Amino acid sequence: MSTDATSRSDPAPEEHGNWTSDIRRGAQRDWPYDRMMPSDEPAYVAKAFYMFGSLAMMSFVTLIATGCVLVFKGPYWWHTSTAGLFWNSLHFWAVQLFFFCIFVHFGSSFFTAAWRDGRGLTWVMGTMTFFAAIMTGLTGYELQSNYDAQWIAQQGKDAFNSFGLGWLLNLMNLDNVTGWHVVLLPLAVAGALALHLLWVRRHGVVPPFPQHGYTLMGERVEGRPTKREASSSPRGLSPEDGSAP
Amino acid sequence: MPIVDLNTPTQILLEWGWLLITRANGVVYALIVVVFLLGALVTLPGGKAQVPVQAVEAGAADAREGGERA
Amino acid sequence: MSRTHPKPRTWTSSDVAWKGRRRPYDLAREFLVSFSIVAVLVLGLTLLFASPDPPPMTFQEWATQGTVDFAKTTLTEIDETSEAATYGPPYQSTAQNGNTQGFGWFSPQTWLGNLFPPAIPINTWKDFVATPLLGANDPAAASAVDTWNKASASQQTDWSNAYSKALADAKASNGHLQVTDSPAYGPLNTLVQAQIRLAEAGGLDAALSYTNATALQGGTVWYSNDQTRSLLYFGDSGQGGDAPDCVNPGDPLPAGDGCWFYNQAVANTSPRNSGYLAGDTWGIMNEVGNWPGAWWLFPYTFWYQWGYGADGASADLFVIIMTVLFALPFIFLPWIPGLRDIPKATRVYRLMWRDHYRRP
Repeated sequence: MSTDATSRSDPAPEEHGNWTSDIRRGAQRDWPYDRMMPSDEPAYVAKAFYMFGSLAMMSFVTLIATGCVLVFKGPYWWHTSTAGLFWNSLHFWAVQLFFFCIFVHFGSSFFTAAWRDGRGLTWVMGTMTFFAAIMTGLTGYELQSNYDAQWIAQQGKDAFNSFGLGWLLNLMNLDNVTGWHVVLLPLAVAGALALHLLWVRRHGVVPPFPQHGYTLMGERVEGRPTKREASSSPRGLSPEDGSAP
Repeated sequence: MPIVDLNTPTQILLEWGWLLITRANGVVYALIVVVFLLGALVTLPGGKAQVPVQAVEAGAADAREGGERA
Repeated sequence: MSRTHPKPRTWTSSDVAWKGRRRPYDLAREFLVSFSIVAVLVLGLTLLFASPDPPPMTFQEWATQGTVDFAKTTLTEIDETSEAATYGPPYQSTAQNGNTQGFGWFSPQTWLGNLFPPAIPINTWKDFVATPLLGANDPAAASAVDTWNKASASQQTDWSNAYSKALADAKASNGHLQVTDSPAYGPLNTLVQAQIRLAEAGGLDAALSYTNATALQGGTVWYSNDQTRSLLYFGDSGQGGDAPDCVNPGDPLPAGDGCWFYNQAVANTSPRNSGYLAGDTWGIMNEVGNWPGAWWLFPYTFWYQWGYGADGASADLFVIIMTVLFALPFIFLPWIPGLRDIPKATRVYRLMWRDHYRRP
């Protein structure tokens, strides 16, 4: 049995050293359509906690959509318009729901040790998404253009200045903050999230810690799982580790 | 517009030394724990169903072929 | 296998490699269901609770209702003893009071502040008081600006000390500061009274929001959504929260004024219902009224509540360093033995995969 899903044939002689064909071959190997858009999953993907990643993502989509409406009408619209208050509130609660789902998602990823078997980068990409999201939220609070915004700006400036970065992001300057919140930071969140999702699809959903009589991949064997299979290390397993991919 | 007016003096849930949690934030923290437990206990619909073995073998062969059916 | 072909990887996706039972999984349907759940929840919360909108502070409000505090703060901006005037990078090249944050040699504020000198130049006398007054069509004020500019440093200090004493016991009524002119104060009383009048008319809010810089090709810049000057000025109110008449968190607003900007953040009364926005009550995590705040920031604001972060001179730098230090084991968790073994050790996973372990 082949050890991995390689491209369907070796490169043709004229393709040797061709970057495009190498990239394409790599992409076909790691992200074939049936793994990007699976119609079945291992049976252990059965509990509700598995949904919180996509719930967080849908909250992000809601934030983009409601954010666009707020961009159309400008940051002060919601102070004087009931429709504005409505769309601003949707945006506000989508933020709360986003971070709520992320925390539940973090809890389940942590307690299932979801970084095992080569998934270390998936974890790191998740943390990067989280940090980008925090900064997006901070700049967003200022765009509320009310007393909260004034207070957060005036207080928060000290943290940035203490690290000498007040010139890069002046919290008290809405010209500055708007660009960060509407363009730079959502792009950072989307970019980190895209990488995170690609990595989830690349490695699949982490299997449960193996129990007696089974390998990590759920195959019946005699005796206990190997130490490597049962470990919490992020290193990917291979046939030599006793795992039969 | 809102059905419940939250623009009232902030309520404190817990204040002990320098530890301070407002009622609103405390509710969120509690909900995170509750929902996490529910997430661990509740099964998704279709979670107990099974895919026929032929579909599994076809899927594995599919992947070996690099996404192209023979 | 051809030699030029890349070495095949030894692992593969568990979605393919899994030997056990499978279940049907409709990803597209899951996305639709997820989105619907989010939409319903967000819509429901919106209709139930809307969102907070505490009215912004204005100079008009401050000068009218907190007249003495406004006068005292304005004096510190004129004689450049306020925090905004002596902050250091990025507002001035070096901190006039030597209070740049740092631990021994480690001071990014100094390094980067001197690298881009000064990135956000602020001269509180010129930017907060002189320029707005010169644009106010107030000849007496314009003359007073001139007098102050022409005076020597020691003369300014004498006037300032005298006027400061007068303000210490001053009273106000209906937005009128009850301090009479005296030669001992020089132009100061004229300047401060003019600033109060300008603020009460709403002119100061406008004057400080306008970019007064001269463009390279001539003319003024004009466009602005930059509230730096206004917010720094607000922040100096009540010596930034250190003045003795600043209230304690959660207490009602005092009858007099004093410490206006800070008091608004800790007074748990209408119209803002702030209560707990100050840094020593986990402020950045909290919201006005009974809405949830940015509760996810607890790993950062935790460090401000105790120890060095609560009252140290370089508290902000300390908090940033601690937050970053503790973020590192979070980011690199998979590679940290001990930490990464907690899930296995606590066995919470046995609950989460209970069905699977019963019927693998």
